[in-house]
Amino acid sequence: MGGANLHKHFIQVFTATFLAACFLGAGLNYLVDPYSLFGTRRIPGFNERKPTASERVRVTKPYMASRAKPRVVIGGNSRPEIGLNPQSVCWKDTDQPVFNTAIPGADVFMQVRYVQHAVESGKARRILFGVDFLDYLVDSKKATGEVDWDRLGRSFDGRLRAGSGIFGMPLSYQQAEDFLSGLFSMVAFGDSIMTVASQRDPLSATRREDGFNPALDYLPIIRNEGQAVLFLQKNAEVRKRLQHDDLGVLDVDSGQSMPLLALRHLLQWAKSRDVEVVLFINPYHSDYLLQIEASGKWKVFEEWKRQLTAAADEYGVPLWDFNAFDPTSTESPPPRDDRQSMLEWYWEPAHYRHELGDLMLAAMLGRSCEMNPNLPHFGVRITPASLQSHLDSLRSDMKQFIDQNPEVLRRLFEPNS
Amino acid sequence: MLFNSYEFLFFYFPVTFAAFFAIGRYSRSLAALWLFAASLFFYGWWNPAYVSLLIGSILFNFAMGSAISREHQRGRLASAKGLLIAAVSGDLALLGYYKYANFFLSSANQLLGTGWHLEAIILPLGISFFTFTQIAFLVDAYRGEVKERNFIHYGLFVTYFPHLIAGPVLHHKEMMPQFAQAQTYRPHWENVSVGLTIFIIGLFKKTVLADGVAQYATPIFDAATVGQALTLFEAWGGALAYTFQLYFDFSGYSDMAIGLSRMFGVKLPLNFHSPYKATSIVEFWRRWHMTLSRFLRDYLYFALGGNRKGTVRRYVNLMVTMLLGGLWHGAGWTFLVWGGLHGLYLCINHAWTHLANRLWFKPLLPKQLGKLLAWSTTFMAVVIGWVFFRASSFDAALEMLQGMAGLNGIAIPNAIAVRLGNSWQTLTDLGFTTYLGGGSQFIYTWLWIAFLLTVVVAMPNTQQIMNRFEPVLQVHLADERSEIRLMAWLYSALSWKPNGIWALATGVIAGLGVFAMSRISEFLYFQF
Repeated sequence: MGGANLHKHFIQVFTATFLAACFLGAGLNYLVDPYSLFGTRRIPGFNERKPTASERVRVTKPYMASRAKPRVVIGGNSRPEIGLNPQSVCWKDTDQPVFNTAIPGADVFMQVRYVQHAVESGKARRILFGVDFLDYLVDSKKATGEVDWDRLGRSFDGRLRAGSGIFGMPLSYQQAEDFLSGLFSMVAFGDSIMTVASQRDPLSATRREDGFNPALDYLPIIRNEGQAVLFLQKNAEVRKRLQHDDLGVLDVDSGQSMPLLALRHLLQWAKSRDVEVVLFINPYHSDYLLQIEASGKWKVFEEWKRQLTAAADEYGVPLWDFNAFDPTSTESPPPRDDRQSMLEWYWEPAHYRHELGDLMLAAMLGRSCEMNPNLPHFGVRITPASLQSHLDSLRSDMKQFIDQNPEVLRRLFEPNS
Repeated sequence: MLFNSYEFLFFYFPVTFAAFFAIGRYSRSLAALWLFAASLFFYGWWNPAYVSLLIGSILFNFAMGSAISREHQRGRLASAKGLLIAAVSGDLALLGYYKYANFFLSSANQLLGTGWHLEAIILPLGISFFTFTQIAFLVDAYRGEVKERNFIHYGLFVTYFPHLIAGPVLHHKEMMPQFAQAQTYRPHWENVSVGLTIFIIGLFKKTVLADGVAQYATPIFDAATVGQALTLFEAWGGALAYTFQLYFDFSGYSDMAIGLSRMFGVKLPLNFHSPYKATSIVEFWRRWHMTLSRFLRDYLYFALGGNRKGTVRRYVNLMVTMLLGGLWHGAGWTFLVWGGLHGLYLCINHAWTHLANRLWFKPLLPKQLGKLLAWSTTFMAVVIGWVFFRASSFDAALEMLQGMAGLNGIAIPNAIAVRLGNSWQTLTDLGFTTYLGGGSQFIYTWLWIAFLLTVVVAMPNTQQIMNRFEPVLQVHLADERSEIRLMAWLYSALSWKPNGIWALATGVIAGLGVFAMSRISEFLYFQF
């Protein structure tokens, strides 16, 4: 072969190899579907577990919701995502499919938009929406002003349009981008291989097709480092989040805030469509509640509940409060060198286990959920009339708990003593 | 437009390439005009408003260059010099306004306590590059080394899209003959296969290696910015990750530029030659951003007198050149410190060589050990320099250096400590502590660093891989003593040939490079 022909042949083989490599890579990404983006069938031992899906839920959940077509939608942040199980015994067949569209680390507006999308995808009739204190804290010295909702939704609205689904045309630009970057992506390719390789690992993390996070990520940490480490880390994080003096739930001039406006928007929207909403305040471990108190934010915490009660009352939706100083929330974390013990109800101070979530579902749905009848009744439904006595009793429970358990404060605030 | 973007790879480049050769069959001038126009489009994709600035700069310099050449031809050197000074001042004023005005104002405000204010000025992409390219042209015109009558060719030389935004910094005299050659306007399979391979290697360096390791550098420098105390491994991990990110980012960009241009049949000068293999700082600067070093040497260091005016002046000239070289990279004190540090390194290097040659006739250490020591000292010095180069402020750089000096202690993630068993006790006795979280981050950081360190010291570079096909304008011949070289057998094993195995390997590397584009990021040198 002459020189020019050698080079021509090189380019031909190169082009064929390049195209083959791209399509083989994309094919593997589609078949394994490491993030549950395409809805490829989950095959046990091949791609059932999705260990790398955790960082992609903002992208994938709308597509999952479109495929699930739920009748009941669970929304909020990572707490309900881990805590409320769509496969819980509390649900009746007529509730299914239940879809958990809660998004970790999302602000309230994003949580709301994802719920709206999931409701529209399945013509759902009921929403369980978890509200979380930190998500509603704003800089109380700043004015909210006119909120530009379009701008706030720019990073995700494109994937929330109707017709989502790989071949559910017409695709928005963002949807096309999501699918192409899920197919022709090196990170996705690495994650596909990782997905197949970790199917036999019983401790590998996953996200279920119904949007639930079984929180298996915590198990290897607990087995290797002990649950005390999870408590130490989360407590430090919460302390840092709460340390700013100007945090409040209402802004300086309008007596409103962006998160509360977003919540009211959801309640209004659901009412106009005749969709039932149940609001609930996530349960926290006593460590978390004591951090709120120690940071001087307990009054803000109470004000937040007042605002929630008012909003719930205005739109006629029930509001449940699962904060309590009771046996579920006051379990002590195991000592630092204990790598076996695990708390019954909490992963760490901010995240409750789905066993506690079942108690919450029993309360909110008014069902027995085939549970041990000796389990404590959990949760209080609050109304404008009962609010003050509820707040008073929680405050006095906290005081009593502190008086009776001084060692908890020492563990929390003097960890080296 | 980014080389590592879908619109460039699958739209802009194929169209520009095909149309150039299609037009070239009928008219070379029209083909050159097409490439000029396409290069302006490439520039305008980022910010159309600044295309007029670029065209204005080209018109100004072309007119001034033509006038300087005319005066030179007529023997009116004083008048030519006057024009040169005016033109260079004009160029520097433009660069000064866009790049340095805010820096000087804020520095003056700090020093004098004044409150002068300018609206934020958006830095036109590549202004440092196209300004320097044109200053070199003006000086060469003054020296009578070049003259250009064809505006289209001149415009193409300045805007030629492979080099426009981040170099290599080109010499008019090395480019214009290539644009004038008839064969440049006809496609050649060899140019395409050689250029494509160089481009693919560059793409892989950028999207897989540089962007891959970047995620371990950025959070550490961000933490230093907010004053977080960094422990020894964190700080070194961040500094080393950035050291490799910058090299693979910029040398990847240069490879892409060289490869793209080669597909058009135009060879560009080499910009990198395995700088991290260098065993001295002097050698490092012969291998890092070579076209900028060449520019600074020819048009600044020599203009200051170089080494012709005695030892002291030589060191002063070196310092001035490096300080201004530092400032060229960015309007900030950290860049000035980086340039000053390298100026100091170079002075020490020269003084040491001077002294050592007089004091010791024979090397004190065994050859390999001496070389290893020289390499590691050079590499450390470079890494410390990059800390200033990357840090968002002087304080952030000091925060990093404190961590690297071990002043904030030595800690490893708790998740790793618990797996060390009894050895952890020994480490605790040595003063090691633990922190929560970050276990996989720690492991991946150091795996990436070990991998990329092996690549930079053991692998042949792109020029060496492609050596049979004259990949660049001037071949860089490195003295064996000036670099460390591990696994020398790799050099011949990885010498590129247009055969099936290389085609398969290049195809797979291209696939990986394109797949890694899903996390598109800009090139670091775009900011300069």
